[in-house]
Amino acid sequence: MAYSEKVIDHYQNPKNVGTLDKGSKNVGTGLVGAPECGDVMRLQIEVDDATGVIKDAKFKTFGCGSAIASSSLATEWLKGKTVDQALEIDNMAIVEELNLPPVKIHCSVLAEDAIKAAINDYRTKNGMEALKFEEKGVH
Amino acid sequence: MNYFELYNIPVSLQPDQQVVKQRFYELSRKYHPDFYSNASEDEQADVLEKSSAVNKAFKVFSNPDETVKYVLQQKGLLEEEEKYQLPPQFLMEMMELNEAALEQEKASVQQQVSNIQNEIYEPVKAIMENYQEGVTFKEELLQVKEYYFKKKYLNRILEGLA
Repeated sequence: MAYSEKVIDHYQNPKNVGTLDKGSKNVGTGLVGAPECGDVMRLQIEVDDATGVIKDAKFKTFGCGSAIASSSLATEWLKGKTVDQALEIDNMAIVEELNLPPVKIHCSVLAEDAIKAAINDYRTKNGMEALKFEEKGVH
Repeated sequence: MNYFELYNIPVSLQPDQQVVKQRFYELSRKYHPDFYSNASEDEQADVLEKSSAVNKAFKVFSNPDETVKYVLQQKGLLEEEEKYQLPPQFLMEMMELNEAALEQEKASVQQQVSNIQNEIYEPVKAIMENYQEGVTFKEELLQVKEYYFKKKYLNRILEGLA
């Protein structure tokens, strides 16, 4: 299967690979896995206390090119958004931006799940209730 | 007819490989298209379908993970592309192991993978070996399911090392 140019670019030059201090109150960490293929993705956000804006985002993904590209793109999009805006990032937007084929849509779902998990981690760390999300179909 | 019925063996998570091979040869002969060249079109189509099922079943039975998957699917306990949540602790462990795979000696990583493999197999060993239709509880099969998905992560790390 051929990867789109954008996927290849993110895969070869992934943006924001790394780690943030997961012990910090301002950092939310999302750790998700795709059991059928064994991919693991960790996505972290660092939120500015005063403004609620995500000032940094990092990821580390062990998976296929599409999973890496999806999380790399997600961290790019997260920076500068407020936490509430970040919640609106939809996996289909990732699919469109990267031209992911149908068999790789689950990689974008994984990235969206990682964002939500990171936000919930941030929320619970700061005394807010974890949000409940509807399950996305993966097909 | 499921694969176990086709092979005339009891439903099992670890079918006897020798029996499987023997049945595979028997059935392959029995449903060989050459023996049906004079048969009706319907019959030929039926035989073709059977021989294809015999091959598919053999592929499943020769692969321990695929066999587990097949049984779980037959029992309606596993769906294609199912989202299955493993404990965060385990995902963390897999993250670290993936990181180790980049930095450490191959042999050391293989050793760690095999240690975890044993660790996760231990609690389901008895169920895996002694599965019996109507005797094994659904809860036990769900434990096997967790094992199945955990093993996927380990397989992926091993593939990366190869």
